[in-house]
Order: sequence, then structure tokens, then C-alpha cells
Amino acid sequence: MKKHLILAFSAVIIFGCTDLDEDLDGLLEESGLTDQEIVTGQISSAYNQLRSFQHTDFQYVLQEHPTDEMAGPTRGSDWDDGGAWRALHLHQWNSSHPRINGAWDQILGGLFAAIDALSSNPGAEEEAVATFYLSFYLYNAMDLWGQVPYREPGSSYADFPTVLSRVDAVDLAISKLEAVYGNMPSTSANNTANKYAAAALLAKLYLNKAVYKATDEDGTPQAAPYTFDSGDMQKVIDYCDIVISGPFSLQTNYFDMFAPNNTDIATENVFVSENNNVTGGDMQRLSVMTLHYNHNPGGWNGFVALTDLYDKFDGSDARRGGDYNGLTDVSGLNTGILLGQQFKQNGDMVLDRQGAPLVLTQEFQLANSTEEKGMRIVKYMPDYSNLGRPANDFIIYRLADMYLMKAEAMARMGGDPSTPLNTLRTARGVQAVYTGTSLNDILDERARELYWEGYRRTDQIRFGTFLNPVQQKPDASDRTKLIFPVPATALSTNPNLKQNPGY
Amino acid sequence: MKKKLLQKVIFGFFFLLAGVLHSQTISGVVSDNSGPLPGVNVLVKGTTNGAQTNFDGEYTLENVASDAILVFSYVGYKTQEVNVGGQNNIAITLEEDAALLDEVVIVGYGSVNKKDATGAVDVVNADEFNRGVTTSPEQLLQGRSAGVQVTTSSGEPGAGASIRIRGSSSVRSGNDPLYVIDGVPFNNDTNSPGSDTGNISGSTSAKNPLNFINSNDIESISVLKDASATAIYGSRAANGVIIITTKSGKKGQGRLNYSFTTTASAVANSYDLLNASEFANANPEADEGSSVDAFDEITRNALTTEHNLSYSGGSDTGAYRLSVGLLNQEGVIRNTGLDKATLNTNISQNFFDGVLELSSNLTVSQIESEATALSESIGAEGDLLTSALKWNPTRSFYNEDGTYNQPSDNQRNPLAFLDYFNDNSETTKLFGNVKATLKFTDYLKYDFTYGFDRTNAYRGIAASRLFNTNITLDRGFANVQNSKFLNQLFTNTISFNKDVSENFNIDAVIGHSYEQYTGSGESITLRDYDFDDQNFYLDNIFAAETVERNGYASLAYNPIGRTVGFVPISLQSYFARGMFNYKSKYILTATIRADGSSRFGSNNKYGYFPSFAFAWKIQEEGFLPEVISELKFRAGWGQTGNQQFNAEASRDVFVPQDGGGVTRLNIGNPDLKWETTTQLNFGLDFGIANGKITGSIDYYRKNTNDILFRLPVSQPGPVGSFTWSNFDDEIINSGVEIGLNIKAISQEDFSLDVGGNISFLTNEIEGKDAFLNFGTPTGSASGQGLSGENLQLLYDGQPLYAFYLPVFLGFDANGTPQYADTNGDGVVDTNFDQPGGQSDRAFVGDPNPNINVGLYLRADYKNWDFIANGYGAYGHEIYNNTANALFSASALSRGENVISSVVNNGEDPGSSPIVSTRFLESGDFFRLSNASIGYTISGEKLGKVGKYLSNARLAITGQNLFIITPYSGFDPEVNTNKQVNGVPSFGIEYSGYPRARSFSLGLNLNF
Repeated sequence: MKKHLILAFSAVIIFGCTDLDEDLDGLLEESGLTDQEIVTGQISSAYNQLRSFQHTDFQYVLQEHPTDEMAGPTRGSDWDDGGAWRALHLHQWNSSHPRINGAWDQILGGLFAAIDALSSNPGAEEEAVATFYLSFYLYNAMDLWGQVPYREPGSSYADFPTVLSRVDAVDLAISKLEAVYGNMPSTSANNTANKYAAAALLAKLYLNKAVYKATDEDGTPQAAPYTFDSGDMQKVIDYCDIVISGPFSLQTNYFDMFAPNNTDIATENVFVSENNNVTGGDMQRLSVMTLHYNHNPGGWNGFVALTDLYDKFDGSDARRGGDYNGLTDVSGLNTGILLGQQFKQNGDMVLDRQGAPLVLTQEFQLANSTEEKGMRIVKYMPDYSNLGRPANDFIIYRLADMYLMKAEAMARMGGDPSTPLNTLRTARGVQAVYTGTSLNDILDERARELYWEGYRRTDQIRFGTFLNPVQQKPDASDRTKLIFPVPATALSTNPNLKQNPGY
Repeated sequence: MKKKLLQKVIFGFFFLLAGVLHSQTISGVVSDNSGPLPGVNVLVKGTTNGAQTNFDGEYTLENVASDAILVFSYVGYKTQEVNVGGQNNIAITLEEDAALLDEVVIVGYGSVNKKDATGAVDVVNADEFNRGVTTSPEQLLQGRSAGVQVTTSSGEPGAGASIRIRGSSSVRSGNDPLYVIDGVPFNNDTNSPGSDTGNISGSTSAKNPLNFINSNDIESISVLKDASATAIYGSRAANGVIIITTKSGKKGQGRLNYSFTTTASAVANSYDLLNASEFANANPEADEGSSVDAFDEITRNALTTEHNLSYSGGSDTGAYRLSVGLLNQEGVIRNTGLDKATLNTNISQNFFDGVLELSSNLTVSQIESEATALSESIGAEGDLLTSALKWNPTRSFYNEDGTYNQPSDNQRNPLAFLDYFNDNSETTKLFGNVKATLKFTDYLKYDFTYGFDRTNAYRGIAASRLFNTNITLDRGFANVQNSKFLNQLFTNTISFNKDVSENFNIDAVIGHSYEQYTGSGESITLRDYDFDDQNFYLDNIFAAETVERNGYASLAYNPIGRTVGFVPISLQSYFARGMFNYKSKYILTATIRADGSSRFGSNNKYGYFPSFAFAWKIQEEGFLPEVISELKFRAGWGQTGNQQFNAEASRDVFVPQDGGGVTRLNIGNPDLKWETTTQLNFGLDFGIANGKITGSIDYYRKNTNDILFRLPVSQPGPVGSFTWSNFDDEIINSGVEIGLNIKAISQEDFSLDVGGNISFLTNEIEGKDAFLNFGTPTGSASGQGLSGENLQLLYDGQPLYAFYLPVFLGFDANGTPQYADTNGDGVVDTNFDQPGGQSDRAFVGDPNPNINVGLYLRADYKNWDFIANGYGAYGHEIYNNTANALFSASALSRGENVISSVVNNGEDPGSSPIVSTRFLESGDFFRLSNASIGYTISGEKLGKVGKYLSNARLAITGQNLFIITPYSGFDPEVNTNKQVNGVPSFGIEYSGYPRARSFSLGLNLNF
């Protein structure tokens, strides 16, 4: 009897001494990794986060829908989506807006990757590259929200992030990047952060610095006009010149730089988020977001171009679009702005879902449009070899923008911007001598050149037209709309964050 | 009634007197439904003359008066009296009597007589189960136990179900009870996977993990509801415990049973869609001249066949049972169904005069299921069902050249969908245990159990390159997932059960258990095939030209193919329970379990879960009136836990990054621990008039704190990652449950039992942290124009999954929908915003029924038997996302079919049918879930054929015979998974598989 008991208890004890340490089979933990693996991975991660800039659920739509070149009309039961698109165009967003939440996570996630790389003992060149991403994501975050939650590299992730004001964030982004600029890779490969990408970013930071500095004590952004410092403008010119004198040239055929094979044929893409048919971002969205259901490829019949944009072009401007080999002969689609009757490649009319000819119109109603309303735009054209995963690289920075920024900086310093502007316009085959003198002409030129590429909101704010009424937005909005609200979920996960004024 | 009984006794008395006059020898066989019954007491009434039946159920009695009465009695069976009336061979079939049986409840590491139970426990035995075709065991239980709500996610064969015992107490997934099958806790994750094919068919649900059990092998299901009963299972018991016991062999002659059932099913309720001429009138512009019925084309009358064969036997020292089951079930939607084969064996043998008992139990099952594109999440493009519902009824399915008419990705042809899309899965499972019991003395024993669950699951989805969607056309698509799991359990217990004095019994158990869950798997998506047949793709997946990487935002992990991460989990526990019974009047139960889990953070490895319960059997005091045959008061308190969360949440984990190196996946929380539910229970069990009426009433209050939940990481942090924490918020469930069973008539030839249960439940979130200011949205809406909309908000003071929506007022003269200005600021703004914000949304209901009822009726008349089971739920709302997405004036105007009520409903076709109370409907229902009528004939009456046949039963069963509900969709009992970021939803229907109405014909032969 006693013996049995002992046996039984010893069985309990044998099984009782089990180690409960979680063995994360197949998953990686810090203990088994080197700093180098983390640095390499987080720099890759920061680069891969650039993919979020071509996704229609994140910052792209925040930079385009509230402007004078894009809107997302509701079409009966299509595209209501909780009023999300209308709210963007009408400047009526709130802190629960799903696109604002999404952009917050994507941009600050990129910032985190940079911070984590910098916290893991990077080498000098890696430190420079990681710092580029730190400044890049800081720039994007301060541009959209003003304040930026931030972790100084090396600080504990167990603590809540501190918060940078917009005024401090712009200084930090510039000083951090300039401190390591000399260590940026000098390669001209446009799918890595190199010194040209860094120069382009610094030009953007200096150009917009006056906007970010114009912030009230409580964080309220001030409306235009802004006071641009001549020293800053000279920096813009200097950094643009670094890129302009680099190994890039303005594209002979404007739409080539957006083609599925733009990796090979683009000459002016300075820094891109690389896509190929196997991996990359969700590039297809940039065409299906706007194409009609019965276009080829079948789109989502969503976003439209505003008449304000269409009217900026004169008819000879090739940037407004036309036939394109590999597109028009395959599907009947044109590049640029699509208006009027749509055709298939064999000349047959494209029909709408009820079987009527599909005739796209200039006008549309934001809250109540039928399916043929509104002009569409094809810039990054469909990759018919792989519609779901197109190979078009997405442009972060390109050469034309450098000419435009340089011209703007020259104008803001009181100089004559016509040399860089004419260089660009000549390359585009329009009106060789630029006659415009006012700043708004530069803003219009930016629209003609850079429409639907994700820069418009920042540009309009800098030029002071962002709050104005536009097509299907009848009222001017107040200056608190110059920045977006901090997402509600972010406030509940970081007590250091305070909601932006007006929200 | 009493008078009649008295008459019987008096008559009997006279017969007895008369019987003295003449004596004879009587013999015969006593059997039950499954064969001869050994050990039955046969007594000549009023005498001491009696006998017991032998192994073959035979008895012989001498000196019996010709007019005597024989009394046949056996534990667990209804006692029967038979007039001898001059016969000398009396064969009789005894009927089981669940109420008379001293019902034993399996309570985890032991069992207890129900009359001595101190906790809120319920047993449902095989004869009380729901009838008809069942693919998983919880369907047997639906409506049968108070406080247990079973909601199948749809009418699809093998669909998953959510089982809620006393409501939901967690805000994340993991509200299902712990299943313990023959002593082995079951891990719900071991299953064929769900899938996500993006815009082809969206995400589809995983199958029910319990499908592997053959319902015919189940002896009983115990439901442990309150914490005093469940605390022995510690950190996994907060949602209650369901213990499934499979059938085993019985002592006696070998028994052979074969049954065959064939079932015909059809869609029970469908939408009142416009036909071609109605559609042409309503939208003449979209009239294309044909006349088709797409819904009719994708549905069918489905046939199900089931075969079960079992044989069993036993001796004094051992018993065995083996069963084989084959089920072939067609779904009412074409291309759906499942094929299931199961083998179950139970073998036990005693050695050394019963000192050692070895037993084993093994289930082998193979399920192959065929599914089609039925999605939880498909957008405007449409899955099979939504494509069919919206298909223009005047549009031909075919082009003139005979190919499918596939206008665009947005207007998918349902027949092409059926032809060009395949979804096959296959799950093979080995589940079982080996037990050894060593009896040291008659009161002390040691048990060792080794349990295992080995599962291999496969799912292959393919779409032809002929299928016109943006993803598949001219390319083809295949996705293959394989996963395998091994769960193992080692348990050691020592049990002590002794009357330590005349009045005092101790029944105690202590033990240790160690469980380990491991798994691995991979998923791969391939594109670009050279041939049209998608079956070819699945058989030759690498004939593809392109291997797809994960899309954007997949936590940056983009290798070719993908390893499905299953983090091994180990769980080590120590537990003890003592039941102290004084004079059979006062019973105290105390349990404690210490659970250590590798999931918990390094700062919180072990959790402790105590419970106490007390029962007072008042009828034993002797002061109750005689009419009250049983009265027991129960009180219990206990704490249980929940540890359903990502195993890696407590640690920092890295994953490979596209481009090289590794990326931090999350920021771990080393303080993470279990969620604790404290439950208080008061109950009363009663029996009136000798058990003619029995029942119980329970009141409980469940309070869950240290809520396990995840919020998005505090940015800057890893993209899309979440941080798990224990939050201070509380979730409170309280309610009353009443169960009642009435033996209305019990006569020799006729018996009638009726009864049922009703439960009342309230549920509330008490927000202190995560659910206070902003709340947490869930319940994503799907469909055209509904992207990004959430229907539900977890919020302070509201029930779980409360609907938070704009309040629809109707249409104005222009047909523009009007919504209430709920915040009274003079501006109607229906965009989502937090409560108290600028938008006009309000809490307008919740999907948790306030009242659940279950009713049954069982009758036996001579050889006829009848059973009917029904259940219902009241006081809750269902969101009809299907109607929201498909049925509006706008949809009609763009050339899509709608239900007839949309025509002339006054709605402006240009307006948007946004999410609102317009599509929130009452989910109240009562369903006659099954009714069965059977006739049993004994073998003897079948002459030669019946030589070896003990009896045969023929039955006709109807399932889902009717439902009373105001809900306008297919069925109010539905729950499409509309989770948001891992926060589950409840009570939303989207593209739900329609429920079937079925009729079965069954034959059951006992040899």
C-alpha cells in the first residue's frame, strides 16, 4: 500500500518538473539575433513602408481628396463607405476617420523601423540611411498631424512615446539628416535611399519649414501667407541642384515614367518604392480606384478628377494624356484624364452596367452621382501581364519636382523662376517660354506636372489655397483643417498625446 | 390519478389472492432496446419469490400462480408489471428511465451523482439529444440545457458554431467553452483552416473543429456552468466546460447495431426576389429579355445518407465497443457538402482481480468537405450567393456561343462561379487516450491518462483562368494550405472515496497534468496556369508560373509561400478537489487549481483558481411535506480563467523582412496574465410527486476582470501590431435559469414527458480603461459602399457587441433617407465618431438574446415513439448586412435584382443605403428544430428474418420544421464572422448560407 503511494507520487513529481519557458519554435527572438540582422531588417522595413504611399487607404488619399484635383463621389449605394470620402473632400473628417487612422499607423510604423535600426548599433552608412527614413517619416507625420509621437533611438519601448511639436519636429528632421548627409550612399540606384533622395527630402523640408513653423502655442496651424526665410530657400535651391546635376534626365515621353516597365525606361525617377510582379505594394489600386467596372481591367468606379484640374491644361499639353502603346492597343484605355465615351481596343464602345454607352462627364455630385459621372485618370497604367501585382515602381521623388521646387524657392526669394520652369515645360513639349510670374502659376504648373501623385495637399497649403472652396466643396474651411486630428485610438494608447485644436 | 393508482393496487391484491389457487413455471427473456439485459430482478408481486436474469437475459421462476403479477425491475429502467394470465413464457423489453437512474454527472477528474451535485451542472443523455442529421456534437445540445446558447454561423454543412454558456465574458475571441472529450481537454485550434482569397471570394470560415466526432458515439454530454463546477479546469474554464463521454461496451452478450438514415433537404426560407417580368417592369432600361432564376440555379434538393455500425460486448473483467460511421451530406447550395468517416473504439480490461484497469479510447476520423465561394467579407464584387441574389433575372447566363456571360468583375456569373471555383478541404484526426487505473483499496486509486490529438488538415482553393475576376481572368489562381497539429496530455490523479464514519463521506482527488500543443503548417498561393481546369491546378500546383507573395500590409513578412505560425504552448497544472458529505444532507465541495502556462508573461507564470460550493438536501431533514420528493439548495463561488490570446504576446518576436534581416513584430508584455472570472451561483433542485415533476432554478452573477485585450501599439511601433494587456474594465453577466421536466403520463402503454428550460441573461461592460472614452469598434460591414463601416462598439455601460448606428427615420418626399439628430446639435452627421462626438449614432440594440427557451415533448405509445424539440431566443437584434449590401433602390437602378419590397419603397435610387437601423432587425425566433416519430418492432414478430434480430426501429424525422420570426433574412440564427482586428463580432448576417429544412427516414436494427 505504502509502496503504491510512493510510486504514484513519484509519477506526479516526475511529470511535475516541467519547464514552462515558452519555446517559440519557428519564431525569432532577440536572443538569437545579431544587431546586424535587426539593422538590415529594419532598414528594409523602413523602405518597404514606402509601399503605403501608393495604397488608397492611407496617406495618399489624405494628400489628394481634400484638394482641388480629386474627389470620391458616392454613387447610389457605391462608395458611401461611411461618408469617409465625402468627409475628406469637404474637410469634415473626425478623429475616428479610418483613412486617418490607417495613415497614422503606416507612417509612424515606418518611423519606428528607423528608430529600431538606429537603436541597434548601425554602421556609419546604415546610420545615415536609417536617419534618412527617420527624417522622411517625421516629415510626413508632421505634415499631416503637426505633432509627432517620437522615441529617441535607444529609449525603452516600455515607456510611452514622447511628443514632438511641429516646430520641433521640423528642426529635428533637418538637423538629424544633415548631420549624417555625408555618409549617405552615393549610388544612383533609385530603389535605395541615397544622397539624391536625401537631398530631395531636405529640399522638401526647407521648402515647407515656414508652414510648420507657423504654429500657435496650442498647436493650431496658422493659415497662409507664410514667411519664407531666404536662407531656407537657398537651401532648397542647393539641394535641388544636387539632384538636378545628378544622373537623371527629364523624361522624353511623360507617361513612360509611370509604365509597368518604368524600372527600365524611366530616366527621371530619383527615388521609388520598387514593385515587381512578385512583391511590392498594392500598385493596382492606383488604376482600379478610378476605372469604371467595365473598363479593362474592371475597376471600382471610384475617384474622379476635378474640373479645376482639367481646366489647367491647354489642349496641346501631352501631360493631359492620350494613346499609349501597351495600354490603348490592349484595352482601349488612354493615359491621363479620361473624359467622354469610353472605347475598347477594338473600337467598340464600353457600356455601363445597364448596357448604355459609358460616357464619362466632367460634372459629378459628391453625395449622389450615377456611375458615369466624373473624369478618371490613368497615370500608373495597368500591368496587363499581372493585374493584381503590377511592376510599375511608385515614385517618391522625381526630377521634375526638383525643377519646380527650385523655381518656387527662387520666386519666393524674389528671383526669376523662368529658367527651371522653362526647362521643364520645354521637355514636356508645351509653350516653350513660360510667361507666368505669380506664385500661383507655379502651383498650377505643379498640378499639371504632379497631379494625382500624392503631393497636392502639401502644395496647396504652402500656396494658401487649401482651405478655399473647390468643385463640390462649397464652403471655405477653417485653419484647424490644415492638419488632421490625432486618431482616437492613438490618444487612448499614449497619454502624452493631446488632440489637435478644433477636433 | 392517485385514485387510479389505488385501483391498480387493489386489483393487484385481488389477483394475488386468486393466484394462490394455481401454480406454474414461467421463463422468458428480458431485453432493452439494444438487446438482452442481464441482472434484471424479476419478482412475483407480493412474494419473496424472485430471480435475476442471466447473461443472456433469461430467467426462470417456479411456483408462480397463473394470475400472479411479475415485477421486472432494473436500475436505470422503468419498472414494469406483467399479468401472468396463464402464460408460461413472458418476454419483455424494459425501457430506460433517465429520471429514475441515479444520474451520474461527469465533473472532471471524477463523477458525482446528480442528486449530490453542488454546482450548476446539467447532463443531456443520448435519448434526449436532438434528432436528425448532426455533423457536430453541440447540435445535439441545442435548446436542451438552460443557459447554453448554440449559434451555428450558417446553414452550411459542417459550419462552425459559437457556444455560449451563460453569455459572453470575453471581448476577444475565446468565448467558447472548454471541451473535454473522454477526459482529454480539446484544443479548438486543431482544424482545417479558414482562408482568404482576397477579391475572389474574400475570407471564408474555418470548419467546426468538433465535426470529427460521430454523434452516434456519444453517450452523454455534461455541461458544467458555474465556477464551483468548472474551477477544476482553472485557467481555461471561464466560459464553462462541456464534457463529452463516448459510448462504451456493457457487460453481457455481444450487441450489434446497424442504422441507416437517408435525408432530403431543401432551402427552408429564401428571399422574395423579383422574377424576370417583375424586374423588367421595375427597371425597364435593364431588361435584357431573358428569364432566369439565379438563386434557384445555385441551390438544389440535397441528399444525405448516413450509415452506422457498432458492436460491443463485455465480460466481468472487460468490455469493448467499436463503431464505424459514414456520413455523406450534400449542402443545399450546389458544390457544397461533406463526407465523413469515423471509427471509434473503446476497450477496457481489468487485471489482477480488478486492481489494475487499462482502457483505451480512439477515434479516427476523416472529413472531406467541398465548399464554394461563400464569403464572410466579400465586397462589391460578390461571392457566389450575393452574385446570384443580385443577378439581373432578365440576363442570360450564356453568350450566344455557349460560353458564360461574364460582363465584368463586378457582375459575376453565378454559374461560372460554380464551374470555375473549387474549395476542398480534408481533415484527418486521431484523437484518443490510454488510461491506467490502479485500485490500491476500494477507496483509494491512482489514475494515469495519456491523451493525444493528431490532426492533419488540408485546404485547396482554385479558380480557373476562364473566371472573369481581376485576379483570375487569363491567369488562374490556386491557394493550398496544409497544417498539422499534435496535442498531448499527461494526467496523474489520486482519488479517495470513503465513508470515514457512519455519517461522513469524503470523496477527494488530487492531481497533476501537463499539456502541450504544437503545430505547424504552410500556405502558398500560385498564379498563371496554362490550362483552364482549376482541378488541374490543385493537383499540380507548381505548374504555375508565378508564386504569389503576401500582399501589402502583411506585417512585412513576404517569403515565398508562408509558414503558418503556431507557437507551441505548454500548460502545467496542479489541482485538488474534496467533496465532504455529512449525513447525505450537507455537502461541501472545495477545489483549487494552479495553472502555469507558457503563454503568460515571465512575471506571471502561475494562476490560482479556487472554488467552494455547498449543498443542503432539505428533503433529508424530514420536515418537508411528502409531495416534495426532492429539494436541494446549492450555493457556489469560484474563480476561473481564460487564456485565449496570442502565445507570443508576452514576448518580443521578430520575423524575416522582405529585403533581408528581421523586423520586430510586436512589443511584448511580460506582465501579461490570464483573465479572471468570478462567479457566484445560487440554485434550487426540486422534485415533486415522486419525481413526476423535477426541475431546477439557478441564479448567477459572473464578473470578469483583468480583461485580456489588445489595443493598437502606441505609435511609433511595429506597423499594424497590437499590444496585449490586462485591462481594468469588467464584464458582468448575470441571469436566471429554470429547467422543468414533467412526466405528464406514465402508463404501461402510454407515456408522455414534456419539459423545457428558459434562461434570462443580461450582459454589460463596465468600462474603466479600454472601453471608456473611445470604445472599441467591431462588426465590419461588407458590400458595395460599406467598406470600413463598423456596426458595433464595445463601450462602457453597454452589452457586448452593442450596435452603434445612425437611427433611420424613413424617406422624405424626395426619397432621401432621413436619420435622427441623436446628439441634438441640429446637424445630422452619420459618419462614425466616438459616443459624445459630433456624429449622430446611437446604441440601438444588441445581438445577445435576453431570453432563451428550449422545449421538448416525448411520448411513447405501445411500439410508437414520438419526440419533438424546439427552441427560441428573444430580445436581441440581428444586422442584415446582406440586405444592406444588396437590396436598395440604388441597386435596382444599376440593374441588380432586389427583393420585391424595394420596388416603390419611396427611396431615391441616387441615395445611399448607409449602415443604419434600417437594416437592424429583431432576431426573435422560435424554431421547431426537430420532430421524430418511430415504430419499434421486436425481432420475434418478423418471423425467420427476425431470428437474430432483437428489434428494429423505423423513424421519420423532420428538422427545422418551422420557424416563427420577424427576421427577413434566410434565418435569424446566424453569425457571420465580421471581426475587426481580432475583436470578434456577434449577430451580423452577411452572405450567410441558407438553412435547410430536412426530412429523414431512418432504420435502426439491433441484433
